[in-house]
Formats: sequence, C-alpha cells, structure tokens
Amino acid sequence: MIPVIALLMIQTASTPHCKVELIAENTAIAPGESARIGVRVTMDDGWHIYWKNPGDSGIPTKINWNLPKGWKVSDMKWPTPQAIEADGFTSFGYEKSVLFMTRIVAPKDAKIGSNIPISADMEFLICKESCLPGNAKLSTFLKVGDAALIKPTKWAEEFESTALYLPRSTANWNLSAENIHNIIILSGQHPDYVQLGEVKFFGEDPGAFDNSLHLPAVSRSAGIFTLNIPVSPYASKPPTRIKGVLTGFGTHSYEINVPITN
Amino acid sequence: MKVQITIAAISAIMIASVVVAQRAPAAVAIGKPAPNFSAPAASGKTISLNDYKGKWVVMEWNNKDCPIVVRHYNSGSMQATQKWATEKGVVWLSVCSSAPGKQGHVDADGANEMLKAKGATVSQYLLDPQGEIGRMYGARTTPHMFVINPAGETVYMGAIDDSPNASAANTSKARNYVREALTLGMAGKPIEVATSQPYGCGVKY
Repeated sequence: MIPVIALLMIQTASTPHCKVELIAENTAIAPGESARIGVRVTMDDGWHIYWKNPGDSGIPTKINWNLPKGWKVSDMKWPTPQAIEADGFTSFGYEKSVLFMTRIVAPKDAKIGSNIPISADMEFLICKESCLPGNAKLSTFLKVGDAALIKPTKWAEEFESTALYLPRSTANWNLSAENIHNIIILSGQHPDYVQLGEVKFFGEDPGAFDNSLHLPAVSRSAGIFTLNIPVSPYASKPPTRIKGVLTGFGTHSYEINVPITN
Repeated sequence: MKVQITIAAISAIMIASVVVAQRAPAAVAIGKPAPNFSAPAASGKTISLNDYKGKWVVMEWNNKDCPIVVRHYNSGSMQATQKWATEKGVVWLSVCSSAPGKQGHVDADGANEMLKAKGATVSQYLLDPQGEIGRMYGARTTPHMFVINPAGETVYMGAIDDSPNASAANTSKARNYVREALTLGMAGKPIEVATSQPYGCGVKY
C-alpha cells in the first residue's frame, strides 16, 4: 500500500518562519467512510498565527479545501487558542505548532485503488515583533482503499491528541448570561468540582467582547462560577449571545454559546 | 441565594471596571470629543487636531511594511479612499506609531518617500515614534481607522473595511466603513456601523 503522505507535494508556498504540511490520519480512506485530514503548521520560536477571532490584532487564518465532486468536507475544528500579549493588547492565536483538522467523507461509489487529489489553500499572517504574510497551496492524493487494509499514519497520534483537547460541550453547565451596564455576567456550574485556575474567555465574534483575558472569576462553591466579561468598545451593537471558548477549568477547554438577557 | 448572587455580581463588576480601566486608558469613544494632540508631521509642520475644528478628519494608523497595509496600498484601495475623501475637503491624517527599530518606523524623509512612491494623498503624515498619539487613541492595528466629525467628535473607529484577509483577493468587494461613515455623516444621516474590530498587524510600540 502506498502511504498517502509519501505523495505530498507543495505546489506554491510562501511560509516565512514556519513549515506547513498537509497530513492525513490514515493511509487510505474506504468508500462511504470518513477520515481526518489536516494542515499542520510548525512555527519558529516566538512566531504566531491567529485564531478565527484574532483578538486585538491579526488576521484569521484561512484554509479552503478543494475536493473532487462527491467528496464532502466538514467544518474545520479550531484548536483552543492561546493569549498572545504585547504592549497591553491581547491577540488570540497559536505558537510552536498547531493542527487544523477537518473530516472528509468519501462517496459510496469511490473506486478502491484510485488516488483522489485533494488540496488546501491557506492564507495567514505570521507575527513575532514584525508581521509577514503567509500563503500555501498544498496538495496530495488520498488513496481509496479497502477498510480492512487501512492503517494509521505517523500523524495519527497527533490527530488523536488534538481531538482530545478540542473545546468540549457545556450543555450541562446551566450557563446563563446577563448584560449589566455592558458587562456580561456569565454564570454556571462545572458538573464536576474543579479548582478554578485563571479562567480565560476567548470570544468568537470579532469585536463583540473585550479581548482582555484577565477576568475576575468568582468561585463560590462546588464548581459554581461567575465571570465578568466586558462588551468591547468596538462592538457595533449590544451582543445578544456570548459565544467562545473558556479555559481554566482543569486541563480541558469548553465551548459556550449562551443567549444574553438584559 | 438571589441576594448573594447579586452582591457577588456587583463586587465582580467593580473589579471588572478596574481591570477595564487599567487596560483601556484610551479616551476615544463614539460621540465623545476626540482627544487633542500636537505632533510633528513629515511635512515639517507641527499638527494639532484642534487646527481642524469644523472639518471632517480621518486618522489612519500606518506601518508601511505591515502586510495588511501593503495589501491596501498595493491594491490602490487606500489611496483611492484618500483621494475620494480629500477631494471632499476631508483632512486625512496618517499616523506612524512604530518605535525606532521596529517594523514600519519612518522618519520624515522615509515617510515622504513612501507617500510619493505609493501615490498617497494624505493631508499630513504624523510621526509618533514614542507612541503617544497611538496610546491616546488606543490604536492597536495597522490599519486602524478613526473618523472625526466637524464638531470634533469620534463618529467611527475600527477596521478600514469588513474584509480581514491577508491577501488582496476580496478587497474590491469589501464594504469600506470609512467611506460609508463619511458619506452618511456628511449627509447628516446616522452612521450605521460606528465601530468594528480593527484588523491588521499590532501597532509596533
């Protein structure tokens, strides 16, 4: 069996201070089945690229996938970003390395033994003290194979660990949000008691909330918390929902999407 | 329990207010007077905002080497907006708050050379290497735009347009918030989008 990754080609790329690779979890994909593929970015020390909301500065990293007719690609999973602070401003992004992964689905009539061209066009801004533009057109072939013969690639573990640390659901947190004089009071309860670390909120909608992450968290008992998240002075109208990612509750991060009452 | 929650929430709001105040000292807010400053310009003049009372003023934070600024100048869209605005009598102030040795820092000669090479028609290019005007306005990206009305009030602050892209691909289709604010403002109409999250390189203070 030909490993998919052996066929990796980079057609055109301008990727200063980083390496960009198109990788797959498995050596092949079976007809009608799904598989994870992704773009992996490895950055030089001190350089960073940006989350979907880049925060106080930056540009969202963009990846467009191109697959043949009949093949489907799901929305990209954004790993939890980190705060990058400079000059009193806070941006949201990634340092060192990040895997932007997505799931593709092969059509039921995909022919076993065929090689399917897939490509990803990527655009980003990479900054340390200075900022530089980056772009890459990545392409590879995915082998359609018999399910029994598919093996994990050397990247499989990285797909697993990235998936493990993707933001988790807060469906049973009893979250509520109230707008009091342009400060969103977000309350809830972590279902397992956790000692609150420094709780950080990464707002998803650009310009909706203050990007400052040093939020006072009031932990009262048994995982109950209240967070105060200021509305951004750049918000064009009062937000009606608060969406984003929370960190500081143990090792995992959590996704929130809560309506705001006045 | 309800009472406890309220007390916790109020005390937390007070803490939050302090945090916000520490972080965002910028005095700029929509409908409030834009803070005055006095700064040297590449033209050799000293420029004060108060000199332009009675006129519409645009402020554009600039770092000539920032890829996002480069995109807006290489496509010609920034110069087109400058030309369109200044022909209507708008005062266009570009500001460079890059510190010496950092990306985009220019002296007067460097600024004039760049403006000529790019065909930019700014009214003045302000040199702010200490970042004083930048911090006063809370400028955080290049570009970062402010529109000030003839009464001296800020009426728009934020991005140049709704297209936070690294490449020029979508520039022509973008909704230019500065043109829109000036057009509506000059017609005496309310400005629909008065704020938006600025995008681009962080200002190199």
